[in-house]
Formats: sequence, structure tokens, C-alpha cells
Amino acid sequence: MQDNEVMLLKGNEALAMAAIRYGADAYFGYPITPQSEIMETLVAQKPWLSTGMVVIQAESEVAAINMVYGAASTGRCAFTSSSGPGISLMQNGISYLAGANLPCVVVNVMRGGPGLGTISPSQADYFQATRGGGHGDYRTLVIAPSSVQDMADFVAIAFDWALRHRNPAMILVDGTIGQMMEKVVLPPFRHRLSAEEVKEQRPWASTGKTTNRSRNLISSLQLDPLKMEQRCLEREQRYLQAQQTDVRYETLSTDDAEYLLIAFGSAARICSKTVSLARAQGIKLGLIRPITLWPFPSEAIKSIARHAKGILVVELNSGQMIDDVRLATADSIEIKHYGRLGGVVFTPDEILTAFTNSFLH
Amino acid sequence: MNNVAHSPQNLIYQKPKLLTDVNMHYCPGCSHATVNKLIAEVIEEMGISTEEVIGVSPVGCGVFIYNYIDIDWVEAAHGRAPAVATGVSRLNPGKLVFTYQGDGEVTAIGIGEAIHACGRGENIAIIFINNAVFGMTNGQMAPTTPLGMATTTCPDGRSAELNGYPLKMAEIFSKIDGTCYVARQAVNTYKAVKKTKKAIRTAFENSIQGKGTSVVEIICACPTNWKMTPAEANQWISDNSVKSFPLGVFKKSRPKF
Amino acid sequence: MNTANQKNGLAHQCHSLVLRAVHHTIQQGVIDINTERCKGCGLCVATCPAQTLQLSALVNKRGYHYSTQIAEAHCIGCASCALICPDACISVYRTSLTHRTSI
Repeated sequence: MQDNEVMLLKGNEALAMAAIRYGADAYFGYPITPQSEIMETLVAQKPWLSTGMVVIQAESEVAAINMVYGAASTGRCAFTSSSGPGISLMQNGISYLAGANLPCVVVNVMRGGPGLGTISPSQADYFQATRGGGHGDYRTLVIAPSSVQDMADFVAIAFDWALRHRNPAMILVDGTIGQMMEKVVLPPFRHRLSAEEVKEQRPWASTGKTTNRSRNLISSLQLDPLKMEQRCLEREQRYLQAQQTDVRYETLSTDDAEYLLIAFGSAARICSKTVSLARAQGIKLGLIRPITLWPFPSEAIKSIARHAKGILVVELNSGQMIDDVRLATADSIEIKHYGRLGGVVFTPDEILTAFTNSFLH
Repeated sequence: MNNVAHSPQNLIYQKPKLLTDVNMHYCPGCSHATVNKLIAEVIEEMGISTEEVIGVSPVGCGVFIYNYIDIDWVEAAHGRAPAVATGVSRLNPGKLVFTYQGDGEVTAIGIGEAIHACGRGENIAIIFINNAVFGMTNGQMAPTTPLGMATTTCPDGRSAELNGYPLKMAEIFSKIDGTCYVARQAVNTYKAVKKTKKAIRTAFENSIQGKGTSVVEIICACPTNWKMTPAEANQWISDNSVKSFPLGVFKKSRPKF
Repeated sequence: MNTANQKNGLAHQCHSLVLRAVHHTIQQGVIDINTERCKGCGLCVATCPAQTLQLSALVNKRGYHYSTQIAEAHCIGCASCALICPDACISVYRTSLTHRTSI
């Protein structure tokens, strides 16, 4: 394997390959469609022989996220992956990770729900991902890929963010992106930290008490209300910082746009075709694609939407991100939603028709 | 007054240095405190550096063990300590990684994590406090409550018909191929305390030597929730608990395949 | 030697004939109780084979009737109290004394 290797891979496979190259220390997971290729790819690569990365098939999603918690407690970069039903089971653990100020990456390759739902692609877990999902005052970085290349590239962004803010980060993937194959340039190899480097760079970690420091404790528990409030405020400060520095989005044809589509993940990719179809008909349509769903690009949307007549939020759900768009624009312009559910994926033409029906009739 | 000098050569017992001066929050006579003390004694007597030890603490009365034993700790979600310890141990091979858990953890909500950690033969030691009730939440019935014993959720005594039968975990753990040592001991007499200490030491040595999973189930008293004096509670263990939960070493080595 | 020691067999007694003398080796102990750490659970009182302990009528800063040794001379330094004490409040010192008795 060399740096910048070009391969034809499924999104799930690309993510796994990128994690090894990032120097991730551990993966713990439990099989669920449509993301099982992540663990299968890792195991096939045998990273324990090359980088020393640990890969364990856990007995449940609950165990997997708690293994992540254990590895992260010792200052290690651990990640897990699942789909909606499994992510729901992990929410308790994710809350504990956030409460104990631990970095980790959680990959959710979404399927349609609620309940067992369907294994077909969906974006129905937007609320769960961006609102914290678990109990208590916390947020996770949520970053949404829309290509196989993004699957490879976002691993480093998510891990770096998690380590910088000592907080869980989530890669929120549409089932389509996990399953489809594309050409991908794999990221370069990074150095995986040695035990000594972990002790030096992450002095908060429970790696074994040395004589020159007091004992380290990884815990989310604090019964003193004033101290607990202080902990929450410190976390809040990191979230404010993230909102200042970590927002990512991209735009297409928004400079002169009279109308906007706002979509993330695979929906954004489909919408980009809708924009060119509309432009061919002389309709001044643009697209904003939030890449980080939290922190949400509210300022950018507010600024771009100032000159627009209307916004169509396009999602593979019944209307979730639309809430954030309405908050960003304070309902100052007309905002409508178009979504397909249950694993049905819309076409560019279908979106154009929906747009035309919403705003041009 | 005996004429015995307070000299180091005469000193035969003192609080282990690893046990901090923080007053333990446990109720008077609680066996948790006894076992906390024993863990500190064992680590100290093994002569290993605290750099080589990482403890995983539970949810329940034992949660604050991290304030009492001066080593690095990871506080786990309720019942998940064996999964957390798996993550800790796999990333820190060769270290002594142990969980400290109650019966709510090991026999109720976290039975899956405990059994699968044993199934994988993780190099961890599980110190399992079995006091037959959920102590922290006022003494409700636990999966380990013996038949006939009254708790707040079986006030007329545990009935097999209504509540089913107590789980005998040491027996179950001993049947799992990944375990290398399984013992059930008690701390209700000074002789029992000595046996428990020996069991904890064996478990900890196994963990460091990478022999597999060790489980030490300890029959403990919860005088507050049992509504007894500490001495009565310890006597009750001798008279009753050990009949449901026989003491002894259930497994001494891991089978070879 | 007090009867409790003999009854419990905890004091090691050694008879050896040297010419016309008998040597008795007995063990004597002394304990220190950290009365501020003590919670007055009374397990040491119930355990002591020589009945040397009782709970004080006084209380410590946390309001517990702490353990106190009332029959110090009878302490054999067996450490049962320290072993059973949940809160590690007791330090034990022990020494062996040999008495020579001419016969």
C-alpha cells in the first residue's frame, strides 16, 4: 500500500482503508446493514500486523461503543460504525463519551426507519445525529459525505475534530454513499502514536498513574452542582469555538440565484444535477450543501438566502434539516420541503418538478 | 497496657498506602469498603508500579472507588465495565486491568458484557460484589437475591413463582472457556477476608500474565438495606447466603484446545 | 494468660524443657485505631477473640461511636479486628514474649 493510492471502492470500504491510514488505534463494531463492509474491510486488511490497530467484533452495539469508551479513556483514537437501530443503542454510550470529554468517531450509515424500518438508503437520522441523540447537554460534530472520496477524506476531519475538542464526532452517511462504488484517492499514511507519545500528548488519559502526577479519572459523574455546571460550561465553550471555526459547506451557482435548494449527502449530489437542469431552462436556481450538519452553516445560509425568493429543502426524510434552515433564516423567506421516505430515492427531474410546483406556479 | 513497641518490626497490619485518606462513603459495616481495602492491599503487595494498573469502576455504591484507591480509573456506564475494560486492555496489553462491579451490573444489565468478555478470554479481572440487593437505589431485588429474602420489590420474600430464581454467576462463568480462574469468596469473617484477598491476588496475577479472564465473586453484606446490624449481616451470610451461594474456587486454569 | 486466648487457640504457646525451666512464648499486641476514620460498625468488637474492644460512648467528628480498646492488656495482636475492619482504621503491632519459669 502506498500513499495516495487510487482504487475503485465502496464508500464503506474507502472509510475503512482511510481509518487505517489515519493511524486509528481501534475499531469495535457489530454487523448491521448497510455498513457491514467497514468491519469486513478492516479485518481483511489485518491492520494489527501493520499499524497495530485493534479490530474487535463486539457482542452488541452497546458493547462496541463502550469498548470505544475504554480505548478512548486511555488516550486512543477509536471508532465504531453502525446504522440507525444500532446507533440508537449506542446513544447512551455516546452521551457518556461526551460527558467524560472523550474523543471518538461514530459512523452512521443510515437506513430508513423508525424501528427496524428498511435497509434502503435514507437521511432519517438527521435529528438523532444533530440533536445529540443521547441524554444530557451535548453535541457531536456531524459531517455528511456525498461521495466515496468524502468517505475517505472525512475520517481525518472527524478524528482531528474529536481530538481537538475531546468530544465524539459522527460521520453521517446515506446508505447510498456507503454502498456505491467510485474511484477514490486514498489519503496518505499518518504515524500511529506510540504508548509514550500518547502519555505525552494526552496527559489526561488513564494510562497508569505515574509518580509525577495525581491519578487520572475518566468519568462523566460530578455530584457537586457548581462543579458540574462548570464542566458543562467548559464543554459549551468548546461548542461555541467549533461553531466559529469548524463549519463546512459548499455552494453551487448561488451568486445570482433567485431560488435555493438546500440538501446534504447524496441528496445534495442529486440536487446538483437539478440545478443544471433548471439553469438549462433559464431558472436561476442555486444549491447550498451543508457538509457539517453540526455545527450547521447557519450564517452562510442566512447570508446567501438574503437575496433569494424561496428555498426548497430536499431530504430523504419527512423534514428534519428544514428546521435548521428555518432557524438560520428566521423564516424571513418562503421555505418548503421535498422528501422521499422509506428508502425511495428521488431523481433530479422529480426535484425540479417539486421545485416548480412549490415556487413557480 | 501491653508493653509492645510501636516499631516497624512489630507492625503487622496497617492501612495500605494505596488506599487514600479520603473517608469512604460506604455505610458502616458495608463489605464494599472491605473489598476496596483488599484491592489496595493486593496491588501494593504485588509490588507492581501503579503505571501498570488501570481500574474500571461501576455505577452503583461502588462508583466512588476511584476516590479511595490511588490509581488511574475509568468510570463505566452501568453494567458496561467489561466492555470498557476490553477497550482498555486491548490497547494496553500487559497491564493489570480490572473491573469492580456489583450484582446489578454483572447479573442484570451487564450480564451480556460480562459473559462475552469471559467468552473472548479478555485479560481482565472482574471483581464482582454480590450483596443480593441493589444497594444504591434502596435495596430492590437483584438477580442474586436468594429465595425467601425480602427486599423493597419483593417485600414478602423472593418467590420462585413471582420472581424466578437467583443466578449463580460463579458457576456460569466457570463453564466459559475463556475464563482461567473463577472463585466465590466472602468477607464476613477475618478468615474469609484472607481467602478473598488470596483470590483477588490470583485474579490480578492472571490478568498481568495474560492467562484470560478471572472472576472473583464476593458474597457481601449490605447491612443498611438488609436492615441488620453489620455483625448480624455478616452472621446472616454464614447462616444463609453461603447455602445459596457456596464458596470456593470453581476453576483454576483455562482449558487447552 | 487470659482464658479467651487459650480457648481460641490464637496465642501460640510453646513449652520447651531446658534443664529445669519451662519457656512460655506468648504473643502480645497493641493496636492503633484511627477514630476519626472509624464509622462505629462494631465488626471489630464482634470479632476480637479476647473481647478487648467496645464502641465508645463518645462520638467522633462525623458522629460515629468509634471503636476503642478497653482491655489492652489482653490484646494478642491477632489482627482479626484489622482484617475485618472495612475502613482500614486499625494498625496492629505484635511481639512475642518469652517467660522463663523455674521448676
